[in-house]
Amino acid sequence: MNLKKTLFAAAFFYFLIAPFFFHPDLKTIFYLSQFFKNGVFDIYAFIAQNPDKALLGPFVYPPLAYFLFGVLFVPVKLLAGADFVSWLGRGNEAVAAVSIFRYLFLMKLPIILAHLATGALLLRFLKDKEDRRLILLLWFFNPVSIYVIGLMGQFDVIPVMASVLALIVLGKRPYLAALLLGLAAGIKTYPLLLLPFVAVLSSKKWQEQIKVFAVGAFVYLLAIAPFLKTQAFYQSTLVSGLSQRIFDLGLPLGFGERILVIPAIIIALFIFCWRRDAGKPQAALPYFLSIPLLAVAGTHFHPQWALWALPFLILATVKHKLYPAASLFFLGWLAVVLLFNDSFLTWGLFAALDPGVLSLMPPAELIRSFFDPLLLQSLAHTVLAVGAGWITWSAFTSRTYEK
Amino acid sequence: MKNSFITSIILALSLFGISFVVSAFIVRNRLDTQFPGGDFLVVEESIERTFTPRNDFLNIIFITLKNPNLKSSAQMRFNLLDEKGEVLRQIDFSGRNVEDPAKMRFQFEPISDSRGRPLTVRLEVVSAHKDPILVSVNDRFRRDLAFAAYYRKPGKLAAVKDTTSFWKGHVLGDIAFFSIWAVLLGTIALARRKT
Repeated sequence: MNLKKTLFAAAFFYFLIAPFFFHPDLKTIFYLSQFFKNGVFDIYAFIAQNPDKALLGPFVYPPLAYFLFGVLFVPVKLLAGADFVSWLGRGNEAVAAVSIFRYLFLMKLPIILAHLATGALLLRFLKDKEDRRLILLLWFFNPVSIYVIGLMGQFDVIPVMASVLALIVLGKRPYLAALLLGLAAGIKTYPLLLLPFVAVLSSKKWQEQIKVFAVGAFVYLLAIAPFLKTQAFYQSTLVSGLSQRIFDLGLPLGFGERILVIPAIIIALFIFCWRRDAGKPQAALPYFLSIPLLAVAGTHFHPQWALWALPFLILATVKHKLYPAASLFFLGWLAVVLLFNDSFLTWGLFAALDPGVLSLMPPAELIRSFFDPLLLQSLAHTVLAVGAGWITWSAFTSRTYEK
Repeated sequence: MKNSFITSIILALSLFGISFVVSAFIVRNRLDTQFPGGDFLVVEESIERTFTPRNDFLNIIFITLKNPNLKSSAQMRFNLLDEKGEVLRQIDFSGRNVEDPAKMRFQFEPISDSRGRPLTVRLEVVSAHKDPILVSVNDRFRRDLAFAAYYRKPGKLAAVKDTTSFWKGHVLGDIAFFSIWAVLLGTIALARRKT
């Protein structure tokens, strides 16, 4: 099977479904990013000072996401037409607009292009023709990619693309890898977790390790420096989402104290990396896989967080034929997501095709009479965690990854 | 998955198929009228808006409210009034049951002859609280109540007709986009074939 054919098939699929499925997050980020063209630099302070503009909520991402979408806003608006801006300013349920299909397609277009590019980058990791074909099929046609990119239109694939690129260049150009992670962290914060590992893997000499780390940290700090004096920046980005949830899983010690499980695992992995894999960039893949996977397995995650580890999970799955484990992961993930008590993560995705779905209760509410949805969701999360753990264990114990 | 193109077609058709089944057979209520929100306003005494439903069997009104810091325990009332100002439907609720934000669902016995009748949706404060509830309005200057009104679907066949008519209307309503989109898909399919 020609690999180009698979890429074309993927492009066909995502462009086919893009116009028809809706999630308000995409609308929100474009709504807030429009202020960039009006000269607003500090979006956090602007929203805090203009609460009437915060109809859809504050800007909760790092600043490079704002600038990126601020630039993308211009061509999207040009092609979307005159009513696009007023549609963006309406509530999350404004799905009855005549041109909504056009808007959804245009907003998702850059995200889909990044998704296709990431698929092409993944081919760099394996040489066997059949493995390369499977990589592409799994990357484009798995439930996480279809849901997060095709249906929701989340932009996590952009920092994911940078992290894949970082892994590719780590061996020969570690400073570039660190720079890429620093830039990616300016769009979504999670790549910062990979930076210490990249530093250690790049060299055996601690001086070199510190320099590599400093490059990535400097790029990230450069991105956020202008906003460090803005109180709203801290509230919107640094104390929300992942930065809080990784501290939720804990073992109680009494008197309010806990052992924080996710940080403990990250620290243990770092020590393991430092002791065994310092200066071995070819051993990087299990760390790129396991660190972001912890955010999914060990927290009450947002659906799109599963994309962070996905390329590396797929690489591990194909290399070691871990299809049962991957199946557990995907099925568990899908069940957890469908059991979120949030219409927009379930029926609401179809709202552009039928606004009437917004009158439906989420599936979690519908099954409440028969079964505790939280217990069911917990069981599904456990299945996901087992699948994730199995793949991670195999990745660390095989140690046969070579780029 | 030997032929990825066929896989992609099957997956896409599956998604559209699910959407059609949900729309035609699971969704029991359809959107009648929507007044989108653009701002939030404190409900001091009452706020209302009159509209004319386009369908019979009006049965749900969704209004988005906010209860900052979940502090309010104001007693509130939802009223649906007819053209004479008489109460057709009334639902009392407490601010304690309002989250921040909250999409409040006011569901009532369907009004069988709602089509073409001017009806007024009114939200009023029965007993105030120092921490008031905020309600979604179109904008802070005009202060018109924002809400979405749904009606009960008449029957399965009518629902299927409704759904297909809705999709057709949207495609024809933006024919320029769909033409370009179809050309794009065709180009990709052709390029794939030639590879």
